[in-house]
Amino acid sequence: MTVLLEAKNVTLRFGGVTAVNDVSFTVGANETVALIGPNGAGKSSLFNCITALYKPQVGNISFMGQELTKTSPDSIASLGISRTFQNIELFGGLTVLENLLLGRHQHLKVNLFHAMLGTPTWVKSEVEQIKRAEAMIELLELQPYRDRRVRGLPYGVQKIVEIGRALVSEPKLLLMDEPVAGLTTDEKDELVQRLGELKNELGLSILLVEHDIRVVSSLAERIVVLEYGRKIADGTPEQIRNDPVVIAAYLGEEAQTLEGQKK
Amino acid sequence: MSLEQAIRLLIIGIEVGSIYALVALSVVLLYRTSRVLNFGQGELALLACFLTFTLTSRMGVPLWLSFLAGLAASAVAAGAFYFFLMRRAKAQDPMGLLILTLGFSLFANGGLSLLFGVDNKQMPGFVDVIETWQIGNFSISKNSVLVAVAGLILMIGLYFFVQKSKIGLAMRAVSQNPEVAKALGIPVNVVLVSSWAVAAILGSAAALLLAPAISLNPSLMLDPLNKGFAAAVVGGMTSLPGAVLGGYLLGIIEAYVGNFVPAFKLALAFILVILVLVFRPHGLLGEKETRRA
Repeated sequence: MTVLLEAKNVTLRFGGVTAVNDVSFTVGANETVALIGPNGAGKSSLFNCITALYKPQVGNISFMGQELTKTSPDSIASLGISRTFQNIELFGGLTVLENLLLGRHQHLKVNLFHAMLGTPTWVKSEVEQIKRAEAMIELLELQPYRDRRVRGLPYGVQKIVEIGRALVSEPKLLLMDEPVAGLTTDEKDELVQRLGELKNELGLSILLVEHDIRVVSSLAERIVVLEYGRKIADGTPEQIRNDPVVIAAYLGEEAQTLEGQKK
Repeated sequence: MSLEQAIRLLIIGIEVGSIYALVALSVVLLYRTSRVLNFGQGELALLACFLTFTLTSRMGVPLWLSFLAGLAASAVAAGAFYFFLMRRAKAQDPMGLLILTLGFSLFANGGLSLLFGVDNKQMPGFVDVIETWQIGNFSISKNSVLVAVAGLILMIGLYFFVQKSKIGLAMRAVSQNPEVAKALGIPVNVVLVSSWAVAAILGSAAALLLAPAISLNPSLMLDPLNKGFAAAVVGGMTSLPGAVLGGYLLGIIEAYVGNFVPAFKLALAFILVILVLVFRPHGLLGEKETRRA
């Protein structure tokens, strides 16, 4: 399998606190990898290193041969990485279509000159962007909300819009920070099913951070487990579930509380 | 008050209101994208006026060309001010940035006074300010009509720019969430430089429309800027339509009240500001600020 994203010995410190400690992992083409771990394990910090919001003190992160630790957050998208956020980060005052159009931003190759003169190149590009956004609206069945402001839409719909905005840029890698956070069980199941379909349909590579073990097991082919900033396991959902270190460190916590409740 | 006088005052109100509305739009546009108030707006507009004046009256360049050159110069100056000073300032809190624009304003005013002089200059206009159209026994100033129409055209142009253009969409995105805009690959700096430039063009257009009717000197924009700020607050600092409404409202109320109680004319804008801030802080059309936890 071709390696798309490779993190090597990534270490990130905030003052005296080591948030990420010597972590290495890969994401392959068409692969879905999940980062899991208890709160404060360093999942989000690692995520933010990939999107160049944080600069790790040690280590490299390369994406298709490009070094991400030396780039800026606004150039990540043009490399083919897009993301969704833990608490939906849409432009609430803009419509669904406008939000999706913003996702197409890095595909705008026309300059101001073309735009001001309204040249054929510009018109063609404009039409193309809207066509792509419309296609995404159709794919995600968002037609009823097309021209509605995002702010007033139901939470579940907003989640889909955000995923649409990330996908409309035709990313090679999709980063998802807790995609099902805040959803009801039914909504979770629906979203997981949706994501599974999209994955197959579009041949996506996904890296997700997620707490919900059910979601992780049904979406991810591989799971990377973090604890206190260190990687303690890396394998298939099956392997992870049976890994004694993981059980002790992560699932163990739940197992213990469950036992505690039994007593 | 006779009907004729009522109409005359209304026209004056709309004329002055267009100026206020343009200034208010420039204030709101900047506030929405950069979360900052720019006290230097007046000096950027002065630069446009002095340049236009010098090119036309001293060097014989056609007025429309000087006009465009003036607008371009203030746009470039505003973009540069943002890019080189505002963006890089270590003091990135709103107060620090506010003081920075205040400092820039005072400094630039001194600089422009030194360069162009503090005397009153007669700014050339597209129409003679004393010429009127006669409709029956009713006369209407050509300049008033020009100002009102030009103001309206600029506002409609701004609407299409902000609502329909890609860069306008990017501006709205940046104003709502700069971090996410960045994550989507939107060049936030380009967007912010553009919004400073567009704001400067609006303010400068207001000054260029206003100057022929009064004299051009370094304190030209003092009053319009105050009123523009007031109109922006009244309309709601985050609303572009609010800025327009605030501008016209203030212009018209001022015209009528000023006619009966001239001494009170200056204070009027600030009575409105006080009322709005006490009873409706988000202004007439502004949205209530909802902060994320």
